[in-house]
Amino acid sequence: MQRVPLLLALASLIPTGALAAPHITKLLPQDALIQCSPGTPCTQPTADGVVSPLEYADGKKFPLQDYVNGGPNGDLFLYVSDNASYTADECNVGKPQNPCHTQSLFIGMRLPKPKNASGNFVGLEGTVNVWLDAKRDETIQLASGAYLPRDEDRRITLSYSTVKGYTELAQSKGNLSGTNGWSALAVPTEAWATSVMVTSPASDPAHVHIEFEIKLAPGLPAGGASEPLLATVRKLGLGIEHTPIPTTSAQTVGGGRFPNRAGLSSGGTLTGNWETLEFRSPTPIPLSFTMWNVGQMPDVTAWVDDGGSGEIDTVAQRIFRKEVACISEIWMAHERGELIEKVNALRAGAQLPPMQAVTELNDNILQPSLFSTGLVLLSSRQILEGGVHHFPFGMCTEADCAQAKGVLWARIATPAATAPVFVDEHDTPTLAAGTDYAEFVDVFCTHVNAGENTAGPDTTARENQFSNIKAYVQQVRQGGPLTDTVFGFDVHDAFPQGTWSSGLDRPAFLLGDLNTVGPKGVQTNVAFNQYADMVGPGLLDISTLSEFDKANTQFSRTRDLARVVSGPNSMAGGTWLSSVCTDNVVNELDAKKRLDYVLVFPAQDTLDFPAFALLNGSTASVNPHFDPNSGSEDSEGNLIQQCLSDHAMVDVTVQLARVKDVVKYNPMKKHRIEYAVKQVTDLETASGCCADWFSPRVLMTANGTTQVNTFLNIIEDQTIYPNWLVHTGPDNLFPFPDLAAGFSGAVNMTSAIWESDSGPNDHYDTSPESSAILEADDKDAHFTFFANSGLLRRVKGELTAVDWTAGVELLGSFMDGYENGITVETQGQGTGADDIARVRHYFNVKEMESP
Amino acid sequence: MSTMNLKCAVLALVLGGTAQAVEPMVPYDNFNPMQSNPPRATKVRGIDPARWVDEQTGTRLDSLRELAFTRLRLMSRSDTGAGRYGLRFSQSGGVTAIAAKVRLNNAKSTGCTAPAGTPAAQSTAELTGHFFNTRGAVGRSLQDDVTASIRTVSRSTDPVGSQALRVEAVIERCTDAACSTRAQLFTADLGLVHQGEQAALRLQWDVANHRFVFQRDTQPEVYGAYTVTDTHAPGNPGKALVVTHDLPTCASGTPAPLGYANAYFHDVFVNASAAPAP
Repeated sequence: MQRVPLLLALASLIPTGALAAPHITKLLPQDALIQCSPGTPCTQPTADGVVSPLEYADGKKFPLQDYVNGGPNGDLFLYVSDNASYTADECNVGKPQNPCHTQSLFIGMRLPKPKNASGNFVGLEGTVNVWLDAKRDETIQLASGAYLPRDEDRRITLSYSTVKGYTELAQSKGNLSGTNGWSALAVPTEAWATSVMVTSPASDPAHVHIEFEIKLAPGLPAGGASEPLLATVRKLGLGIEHTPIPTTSAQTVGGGRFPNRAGLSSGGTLTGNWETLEFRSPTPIPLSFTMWNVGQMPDVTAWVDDGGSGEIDTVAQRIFRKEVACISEIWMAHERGELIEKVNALRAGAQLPPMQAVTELNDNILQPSLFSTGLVLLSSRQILEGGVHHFPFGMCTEADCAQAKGVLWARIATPAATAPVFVDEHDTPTLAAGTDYAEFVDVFCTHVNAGENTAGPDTTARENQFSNIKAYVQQVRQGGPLTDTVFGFDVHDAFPQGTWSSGLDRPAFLLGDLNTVGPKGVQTNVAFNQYADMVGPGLLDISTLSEFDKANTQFSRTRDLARVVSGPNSMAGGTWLSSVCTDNVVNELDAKKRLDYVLVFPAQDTLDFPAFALLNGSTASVNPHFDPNSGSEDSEGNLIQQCLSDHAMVDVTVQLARVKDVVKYNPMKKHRIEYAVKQVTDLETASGCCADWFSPRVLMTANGTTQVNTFLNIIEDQTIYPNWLVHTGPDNLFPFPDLAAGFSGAVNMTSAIWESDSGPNDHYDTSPESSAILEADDKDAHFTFFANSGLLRRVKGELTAVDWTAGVELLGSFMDGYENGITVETQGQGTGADDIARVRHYFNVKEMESP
Repeated sequence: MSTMNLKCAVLALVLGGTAQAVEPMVPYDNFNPMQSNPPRATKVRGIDPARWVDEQTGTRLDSLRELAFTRLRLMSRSDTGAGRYGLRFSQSGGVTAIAAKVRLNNAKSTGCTAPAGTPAAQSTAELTGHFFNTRGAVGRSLQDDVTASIRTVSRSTDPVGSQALRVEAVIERCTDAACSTRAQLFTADLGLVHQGEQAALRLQWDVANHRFVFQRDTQPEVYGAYTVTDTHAPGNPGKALVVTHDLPTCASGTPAPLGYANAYFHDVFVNASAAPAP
């Protein structure tokens, strides 16, 4: 879902009130001149009737959902080639279509086959309509008459049957006087040259494959580029709809449309309803990462250099405006807590919302710093999930064993997750308050064993830690569960219970002081054996190109984002400074060793599209921080000065892009409803640590049945990420069925957050409203999902049945996507030392695969 | 707070286990409002005004007195004179013993380059108090008040580049009404501590034996005996946690001295009779 364009589109459309919002998809055509060369040949789809996803890797993938019949979803792939011609050695080398074709739109469809009464797949037949709006700008600008198909617009109709074995293609043009706005072409040359193939590949018995190749408006103007690809236009209106015809009395499936929505047709005679393909780079989702070892060494008697003159204040000053920051070498919990307080005090002064954090704050006398990672992962964006992992006991050498070290994990909402979304509430656009859980990246923050970089105990310990990181990262990204029987997780590890959405379909990021000397700028991996091993297949395993990497030419393959520093000196990426330095330290970085990294874990390597990819053009800088107040003379008159830390700060910017669109709520399918408490933060006191959290009540009512789960094992910390969950489905103690296809009722959800106390336990207030009669209504947030509309609302409470339907806040409509769920924070109201908390609630309407 | 009692017990053992105190030590404030030790009837935001009163003398360029997550943080940066900055026990009169964990996270003391023979600059983090007066205080005069302190000290004479500080025990008698000048009755060196290294410090007036008891961490107690009369109430009964600076006056045109101390305090204990109200 492209949220910002959707908003703009809505804004532009509201005055007319006549049409549904035009959707926009940005699709960068493959430009042979720029992207293809004999050294890096391109891939173009071949319209041979076998839809291989990665042939479309320079395009985009969409779901095809049947809102009438339900059933399994199909896939739609779109790809466009630009004006520049291909040579034989730069595209589809060794493949059937060579050289590749310019100015062509390729459409690939994988359509689910129905099953007969015996459960066997049978053939599919139906109609595919493709609507093409050639002068899209005029439609968008509401030019007179452009809201209907005109002479330059085309409708391509494919009628096919894999049962009866026919494929018929017809093309018509817009005509106000024609049948339903369309009429036959006057002469065959008016056609947009189209080829199509329909097959039932043996390799994919569950689907029918259809592939179109459409030459884009070749008649306009003669000898020049076609209109949609003119430099001044670069747009095309496109609607696609597949309508299956029943071939078996048991099942009819396979319908789908583009743009993907229930109800309103995606094509037809209202051109404004069609999708706008903008032929340019996908909407970038910018993110920035900071890695900094701040040298705040421990107060242990075995003293070592504290790693610079910086203190918590000076560290906070330099990071409070960052977006996502991994801070290492803060061994004491109270200093980690103070850092978060200082950062957020500075942000409050700058009118910025507080940062959220993953760290350990409870290393009191029963949990000393020995068992902590010394890490703080701060994010100015919402943290949807979080976890703390310690390296197994003994996986260290000498002084490094004074602290466990390990990895922090934060699942961070990208800017796209919180982009404004308006929901049509009785013809009134209403801003939805929910965050889109599908729009996230996993970020890991680590600090590994220090010591030598030549083979020996130190490198062995590090290699073991890298393997441990890799295993942990894999488990986290796949959505859990994390179990100590698999990884020997330390008793002090903290991670969500159960499972959560997989993040393997997108890049993840590892920020850390990896204590491994790596190459800078133009240096190769030669002479950096430990580095090569670290990123290689045996350890972090990020160096291999994925199949998607190989097939696409638009996205970044970079794994080590700060290896090349932006700016005039690409070698100025050394990060290991030593604590004694001068104000010239910034000019000495090319001679320093590089130990601190921002690395990319690519999306899982499959033969399909990831959900997100990294755009080219990331930037990196390495920034030492010199302490101007540190100067002093030793007994020999030498000036001794310090850096704030003995490590330089690494700053990286990236841009993500969505390459696979999201599945939306389809009431004609079976669904599992999930509700979970994802995060709890104590707001009772301005400072201090820590609350002992539990929940006696995580409740869901659906289908007239109520399921209450209790989570009485105490979790102690200032902020916890518990994943206290209730859901429909078979693995409940008592029957609590999933929502059947066509369910039109409501689902109610709430949770109670409590703290175990030395006196009476405290029921925390997490509801923004107050003064309700019932304690649960006064303190707990309540929510209702309305299945008939797909809307999720925060509601008044539970005192009466009507209160469950009395909306207080609109969170979103699953009809708009939210493929991985909606999440929202609520916060209790109060002054002074009231028992108030901020809670992140999570809701998912999870489509269950139909038989 | 399910583990609170156990934690308190362990803490009491660590802090008071070796004491030969007349009175047992009890928790006064751990600066952790979420898990207060001793427990409070109601939780407080920030520094508890019922237990602490601001204390400050002298002037400074920069200062902080705040609750820093689960610690009291005191920071002072000054380039002139002498001064103290911190918190005084609100009912100091009853306090005869103080123990706390103290971490002087960063300290810097820069003296004068001229004139020659100028005294060293000094910055400290300390537990301190006025305990009695040798003659009977007159009005508000502090003259002849006897003070005792256990402190972590940075001096301008420390080796440059070293991050070693010194822990000291000091007993002094005020020699003027403002107690701006003092005569030392007892000093003891309790060893080095590094910047950022935590030390558990205890100071206890053992009036029956006419001495003060000092202890750092689990080291043997050090006894500071005195021979002055200790039966009169002090002019100022204040007991406090402070950071201090004591800087020389440098020759005109030479760089100013500097006294900087950034210290963290927590797990404060006092003698049982001075226990705070719940």
